Amino acid sequence: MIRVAAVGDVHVGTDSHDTLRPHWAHLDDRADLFLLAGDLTKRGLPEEALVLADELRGLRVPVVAVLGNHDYESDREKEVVDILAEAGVRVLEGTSVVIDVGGQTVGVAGAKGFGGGFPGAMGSDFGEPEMKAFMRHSRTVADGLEAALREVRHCDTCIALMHYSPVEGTLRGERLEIWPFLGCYFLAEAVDRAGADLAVHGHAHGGSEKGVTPGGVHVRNVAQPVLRMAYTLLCLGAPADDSELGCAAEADAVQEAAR
Amino acid sequence: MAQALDPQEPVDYIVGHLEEALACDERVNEQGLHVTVHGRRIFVDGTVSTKERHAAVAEIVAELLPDWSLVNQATVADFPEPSDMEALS
Ligand SMILES: [Fe+2]
Ligand SMILES: [Fe+2]
Repeated sequence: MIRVAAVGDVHVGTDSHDTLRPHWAHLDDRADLFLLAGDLTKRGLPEEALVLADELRGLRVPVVAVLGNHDYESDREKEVVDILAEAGVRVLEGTSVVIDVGGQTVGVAGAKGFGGGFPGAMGSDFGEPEMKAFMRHSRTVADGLEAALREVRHCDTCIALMHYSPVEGTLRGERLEIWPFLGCYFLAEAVDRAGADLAVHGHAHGGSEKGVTPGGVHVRNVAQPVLRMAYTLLCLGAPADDSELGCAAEADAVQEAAR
Repeated sequence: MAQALDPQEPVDYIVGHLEEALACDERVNEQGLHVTVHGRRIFVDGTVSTKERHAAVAEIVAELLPDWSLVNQATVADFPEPSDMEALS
């Protein structure tokens, strides 16, 4: 059993000091893993990454992240990644990490993802070079996600982390016209081909929380404006041994503590 | 300081320019804000991350359309910790 906390789109700026940390006070007690689903910063500046690193300081729970489109705005994403890595955050892009949680392995594969759309309403790798570049970027990052997921297939629990949406289900609430900018089915196909227990994304601030891939994998949109919470808590898998409570009992305990 | 818009332009373009400014201006950088216009009143909805960015929405709108009024309905993300956990099977 693994308890996952996740949030996306915190958009940290130099005006974000002490805005997140107070709401992360119980993270260490409640979660085995903390996922950040991109748009970590407002405009991808090193000074913003330093603020986020400061907000995360002192957390003992392992933090795994992907970048989002905002984190690329200033062409300084490498510096952003370095600052976060220095603070202990594992930042993934077509890569994976395995975390041991009480003897069980959790594999997280991550990629930013991109737009492109969904069957029946999508772009094609055809025509002008700009259009080809758009769709090829989407293909490249989805291929990276699939390869990374295959690296962690052996794990007891397997999670796909991205910024853009793999499915339409979690975009409900967003204007239909912008869906091709919010995600691409290449990502869902990557998840279904490689296999995963959960796919987590952000980016769709006006979307909805729950969806599922065509292959039946749970999808959760954890963009903070969708959650309207500091993070969401998910519990996956069976108890590791007789001493461990199941997810249902864990969920009851969280509710009891909140009362 | 953002450059003022032509208030005589068709309202569709005004909405487009306002949304573009809120997405690209470094004081806000929020693509998720939704702008509607009724007469000379501008309504902004959505979520911004900080109170500074909430105030900057008004600044930018005032620079683009000085004589128009703003109803800033954007909320500041100041969300509590969750009180439940979802068990996924
Ligand atoms: Fe975002
Ligand atoms: Fe985004």
